Amino acid sequence: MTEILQICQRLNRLRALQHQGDAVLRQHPEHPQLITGLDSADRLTGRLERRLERICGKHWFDLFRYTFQPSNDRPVPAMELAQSICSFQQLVGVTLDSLRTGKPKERATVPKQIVDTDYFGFGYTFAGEVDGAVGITLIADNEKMLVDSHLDQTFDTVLDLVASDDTEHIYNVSQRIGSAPIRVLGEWCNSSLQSDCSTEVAWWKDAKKKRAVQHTPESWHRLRETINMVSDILAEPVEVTGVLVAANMKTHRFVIDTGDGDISGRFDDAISTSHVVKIPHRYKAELERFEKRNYATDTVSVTYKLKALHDL
Amino acid sequence: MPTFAPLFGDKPQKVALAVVETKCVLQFPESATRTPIWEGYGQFHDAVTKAACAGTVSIGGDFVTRQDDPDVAVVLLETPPTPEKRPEAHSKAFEWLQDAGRQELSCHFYVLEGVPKNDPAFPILEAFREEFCEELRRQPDGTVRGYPVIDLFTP
Repeated sequence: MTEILQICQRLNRLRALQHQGDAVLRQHPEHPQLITGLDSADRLTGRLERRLERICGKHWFDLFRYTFQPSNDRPVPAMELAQSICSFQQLVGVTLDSLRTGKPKERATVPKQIVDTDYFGFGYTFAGEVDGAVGITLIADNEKMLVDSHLDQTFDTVLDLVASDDTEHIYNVSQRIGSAPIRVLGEWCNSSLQSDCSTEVAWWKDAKKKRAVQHTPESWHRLRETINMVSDILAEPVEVTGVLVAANMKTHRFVIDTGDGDISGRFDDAISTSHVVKIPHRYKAELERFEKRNYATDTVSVTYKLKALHDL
Repeated sequence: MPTFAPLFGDKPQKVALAVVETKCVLQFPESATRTPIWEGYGQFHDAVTKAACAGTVSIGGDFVTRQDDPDVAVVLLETPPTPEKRPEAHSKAFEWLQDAGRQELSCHFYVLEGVPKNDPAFPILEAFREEFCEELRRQPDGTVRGYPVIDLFTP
């Protein structure tokens, strides 16, 4: 690990120097010695990065390069940048916990053991390819296994989710890992949207770029919309006794006063010319209760459908 | 990464080119990589001497350790400040070095041209120099090694 940290430290120093050099070059664009020095520094940086990838691969460390590219003239907002990385880290933590335990996660809590051993370490920063872009390299301690480790599966799942534009696919993944990761994915979308930056997350393993996902503010917005549509509907029959106080034959909506509160909803042929009812009148109502849980917001909405009314 | 004993002690040493060849190439006749690295360095040395570049060349990397088959030599060319405009021959030599193909010669070439102390780029180039020297001297285990420094043509 010492060698990895030393290289990261050197990369941080070099990046800062290159940044200073670029600033001087903007004031003195015809400075051949500085141009030559910067060119050499650029080569050294590239070689240190390749060396870091090699050493990390050898010692089972994975690298994540997270790049923020502002979409306007403003610098990358620091708070949203930090929040975005926090959400990404939390998504990895929650998903990893679910895959390790084999249980879907309903709460977005991350066990201490994962925080202590599996959370990303800060590697070094780098400048992106366009002006104002900021890059951060994170290091993850992966397991040495012949098959994909839990962390490998986690990174695959997370990058798969963030690249998805299919509500059904996200729903299917959520059946395996739970609703909490989807909720955290929604938070990641939100913080990324607030930053108004394009982002790229690239996963490097064994000195190779294994996978990368890019998002513009527009595609973050689309992902947010897709996640918003991911929901679970639980249907169950219920019976209540109460007074039918309203029924609208045009909109097919009803209201029953149960004494503890009103139940309202829709009906089809439970009330019709062949099933005439009295209002107000006390009935035993056969209903279907639909509980819809939105994964992105973790909110539950309940609706009812009237199946039949029985005179008491 | 394994660490091999340095061939030039623990400090930079001013030596002749022939000493580098003897210590780093001729005493490893079985090495598969030392001769190609030296040939790559030879092309660089020819280019800078033809251009009459003054200054020094430092050679580092695992090439200056006891590793039988080193991967690479790290080569830093440092030239003193030129009183006026950079000579055309120097520009051509630096262009030659910056060519991507040259960087595949099993040598990693870096160039630092000196500037007067009152130049706005002076502190940055000095800091770069420290980073290049770190690359020349740093062993994988964090210790430092010496390396040869060769004087070039002095006008």
